[in-house]
Amino acid sequence: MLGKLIKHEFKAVSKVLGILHIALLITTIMGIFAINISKHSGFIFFNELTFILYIFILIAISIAVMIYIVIRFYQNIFTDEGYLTNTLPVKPYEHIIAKLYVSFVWVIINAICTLISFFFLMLSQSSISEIKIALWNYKSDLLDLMGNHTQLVIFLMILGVFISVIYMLIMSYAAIAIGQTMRNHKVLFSLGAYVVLYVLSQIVSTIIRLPFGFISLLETNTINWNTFFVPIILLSYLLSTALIILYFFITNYIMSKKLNLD
Amino acid sequence: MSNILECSSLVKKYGTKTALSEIDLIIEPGHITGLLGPNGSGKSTLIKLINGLLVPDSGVIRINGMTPDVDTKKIVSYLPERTYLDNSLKVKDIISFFEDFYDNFNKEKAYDMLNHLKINANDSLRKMSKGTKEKVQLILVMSRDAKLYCLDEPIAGVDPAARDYILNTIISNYNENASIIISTHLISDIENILDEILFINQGKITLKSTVDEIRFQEGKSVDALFREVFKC
Repeated sequence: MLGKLIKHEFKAVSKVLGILHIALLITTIMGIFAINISKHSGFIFFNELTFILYIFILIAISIAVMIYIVIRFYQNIFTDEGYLTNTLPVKPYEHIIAKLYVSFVWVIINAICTLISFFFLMLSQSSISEIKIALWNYKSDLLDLMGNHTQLVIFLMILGVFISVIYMLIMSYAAIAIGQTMRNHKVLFSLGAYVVLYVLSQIVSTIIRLPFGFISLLETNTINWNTFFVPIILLSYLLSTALIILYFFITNYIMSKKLNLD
Repeated sequence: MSNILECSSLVKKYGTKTALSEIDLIIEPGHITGLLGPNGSGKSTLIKLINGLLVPDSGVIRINGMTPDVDTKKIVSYLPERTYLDNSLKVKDIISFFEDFYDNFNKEKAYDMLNHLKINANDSLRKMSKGTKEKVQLILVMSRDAKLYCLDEPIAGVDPAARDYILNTIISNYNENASIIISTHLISDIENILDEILFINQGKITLKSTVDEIRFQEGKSVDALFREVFKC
């Protein structure tokens, strides 16, 4: 059943998200043209303005993707559509996993598309050899910073992106679910719950990191990747994972026991 | 054979308000039961409990001997009072959705009924009137070979001509071991297809009887009795 849920979830969201990414493509093409034209027009100021507008649209599309995904969760489970969703012969946790999976894939697709778009815009402004040199310099800077831990750092970075995307999604789901336990003003309470969960998780992660701050003060000479950064990163990943599991159980509990459709 | 629905001391509260209090109820296979009561009497709450959309505060509810869960959702076909379909979809998309999730969904039956009511499967729901959407939903629900059908206000938004067709569909499409619970205000329209009736008021079952008993003992129609009992 999970496979079927995922299949139909992709079907349901891909239309709107596809259109958003076509908009991203058009923005990229237009951005390249606009910046090239304005570059030759002699108004540097105009050039910068176009670039800012381009970045702004890119960010707007990413935000739209997130908002659409979260609203889809709310609509499909807690509004009229919930009468069908919640009476399918499927366990609530399967709905959460299916939606989480499809949303995750789309957020990653969006991130990759945004990077590619940005890359092509850069490419249109300079030659490949220039970019190569720039990247090479950047790479050597990075290598200096990371020492001989390049692979580890890249692995940790990708893992970090994955964890934070899942964290962001499941926290939104939990916030929506918590808001639904109220009799009135459910959406308002969901927004409130999101803010509370966000602030709480910030406080917790700051407290967890606090001891490391003291270590760095005490033993400034021994700070390196192995003794300092890797443990702090791993600890924060562990904490995020624990919270992901907690939010998952909260959402699942509310969907199983506290569902109350209007 | 076990009862299709059993409730004992079933209680559901919304906050401090009691929606259902101490409901004891048995529905046997092969019956069409009318769940009749004024607005806010607890009809929809009972139907939601049967479908696992609500969890009781106390008491027991069993469908075919099981508490509501995945296995009961497989055998209960539910028509809510809301239009629950995603407007951006076409009728045929929804049919393939139902086919994927319900093993007992009969696609041919669904297309047959759509043809009868002259609904185009390639139309998207956005273009349809509210009544047509209700017809589509009812077709989907009745195309399942379920053990229990829960129909919450199935004919309220449909014109009288289509009502007859729908009621006919209801009686002719379910097998004799299945049961149907119909909640409605339009008693006179459905009276003829009911086997038994439940009057529900302020969260309590006030009368459980067969339609024939009412006709012979009270000498009046269910509709007339309802108007008398729930007179404002």
